[in-house]
Amino acid sequence: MKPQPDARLERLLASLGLMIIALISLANVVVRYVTDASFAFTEEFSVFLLVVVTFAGAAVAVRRNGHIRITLVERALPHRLRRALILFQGLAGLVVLGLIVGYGTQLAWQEYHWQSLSPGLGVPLWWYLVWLPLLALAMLVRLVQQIRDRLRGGLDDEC
Amino acid sequence: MSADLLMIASFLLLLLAGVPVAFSLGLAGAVGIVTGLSPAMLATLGTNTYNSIAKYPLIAIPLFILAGLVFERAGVAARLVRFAQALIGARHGGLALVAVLVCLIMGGMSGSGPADAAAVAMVMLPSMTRAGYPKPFSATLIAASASTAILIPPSVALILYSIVVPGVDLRALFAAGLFPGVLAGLALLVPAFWLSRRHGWETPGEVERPPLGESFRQAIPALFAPVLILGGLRSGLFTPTEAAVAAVAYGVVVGLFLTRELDWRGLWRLFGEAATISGVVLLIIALAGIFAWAGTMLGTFRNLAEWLIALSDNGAVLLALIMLAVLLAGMLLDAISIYLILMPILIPVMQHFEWNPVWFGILLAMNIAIGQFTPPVAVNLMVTTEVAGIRLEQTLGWALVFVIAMAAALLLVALFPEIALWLPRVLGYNL
Repeated sequence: MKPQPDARLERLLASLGLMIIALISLANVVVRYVTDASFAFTEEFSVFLLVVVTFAGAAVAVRRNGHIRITLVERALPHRLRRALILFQGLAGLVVLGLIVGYGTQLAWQEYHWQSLSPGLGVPLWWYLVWLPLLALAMLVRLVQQIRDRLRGGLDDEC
Repeated sequence: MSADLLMIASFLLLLLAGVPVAFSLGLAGAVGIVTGLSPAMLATLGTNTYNSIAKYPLIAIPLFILAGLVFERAGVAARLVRFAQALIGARHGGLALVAVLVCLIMGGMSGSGPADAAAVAMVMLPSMTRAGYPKPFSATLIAASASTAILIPPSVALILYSIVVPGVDLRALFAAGLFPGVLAGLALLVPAFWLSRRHGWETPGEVERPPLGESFRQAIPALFAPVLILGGLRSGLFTPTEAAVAAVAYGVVVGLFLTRELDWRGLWRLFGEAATISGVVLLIIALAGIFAWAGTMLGTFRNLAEWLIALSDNGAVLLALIMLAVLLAGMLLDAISIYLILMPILIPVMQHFEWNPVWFGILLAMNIAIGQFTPPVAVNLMVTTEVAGIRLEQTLGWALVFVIAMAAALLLVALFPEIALWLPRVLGYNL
């Protein structure tokens, strides 16, 4: 296999997130059977980590152009048109991610302003929410890198 | 043009243009909101994206993906193959049977097909080729049998179905997938045996048979994995999320200490790989939330459902039409996307005709499974042909044979719903 471009920081975050989710879930199972008690409040933290894994992992996949998509038309097009199509794909991605960054920031800012606390652990809610615009921004950067690579003729994905 | 149509049209256009499914869903949802509601409502892109994935049951998805990768790297496939070979011995179609059986068992440890297809293809293709099976045949057979992974529990696709469709018990779905999955695997064997005999592939006695006892001992850790997962779920010992984490822990122990094919460094890399694959799957779920919200607010899904119901009074005819449409969708897309896009439209139809949601979910999964090894876009087949070093086009004829075989299994489950529903009922789950 060819070496693939990587998004190291996001990969590190996603790996850590998944590992902590696994450890918390495992601890939950063990604690539940040994002591008959459960620590349900960890659910909130696991769910937050799931959001981190999703967007950080998705950023790695964006960098590699590994997201599920239909390439039927793209492969049938001649070279020049394909470049235009790649630009269009990049533009579509930029719009979606830009919207998420914008409205995600708004959401996190609102919660910061209202000083809402999370229901389970009682920490400020914006601590969780701020990761959405941050990681969406990371995806946006990775998308720009990916489009640049593909326009230069690298990163051809046949699958 | 109405906002409804604009949303659907822009979605299809974006998909065809090769924009990732996740982005297409998000952008089309935004188009629907801007044209049909009000631009101010775009604010849902923040909350909706976050809340669509911030759900506890979804945690099982990355954990089952991780479990599948861990088992794949722990080298259980090779041990299962040796044991199955020892059990079956060399005969016409013997290795075909081994391939199908191993794919079914691997499906019982991981949640999705392509990883299983790769693992089994790497182990089995060389020996199948040596025994005289043509490479395109073997690659197609393995791709087809690995596609049953979305039916055999645990299944990532079925986890998602239970979240999308209200009131469906995941354990009932898991139980309902077992027999249709095995049936689909067996259906593949009918043409495989017939072809092997006719062409004289794998002459008896030519291939060395591994010793039974020793290969069984080697395979025990692998064979115990599905028992742990399914047994744990059945006995109520584990919730699906706990079963997933138990599977991961067990796979890690097997890989690090029993087969010793996994080291700590490799394990860390697997976390990264599983997180990336999960990112792909979960991002679709996150952005499908926007699409679903817009479609519900605009009444798009209700309109489409009413249009579908108006097509025919005859439930059987409509069911056949839906199956055909899902089969076509399955050739282009993965199970998760299909469930997310189609279920909001199909749930009202399902309720109108009073189809059992568990049975319906299994039928859809069987269709999607067939789509996974049907060219032009066949995820599993792409994996196995790459391992075999052949072109996708060479498998076309074989793929058709196995599509027909699995479609026959699908027809049986459609005609006799008890094939799916008997087990969950006997186990006492709500249907």
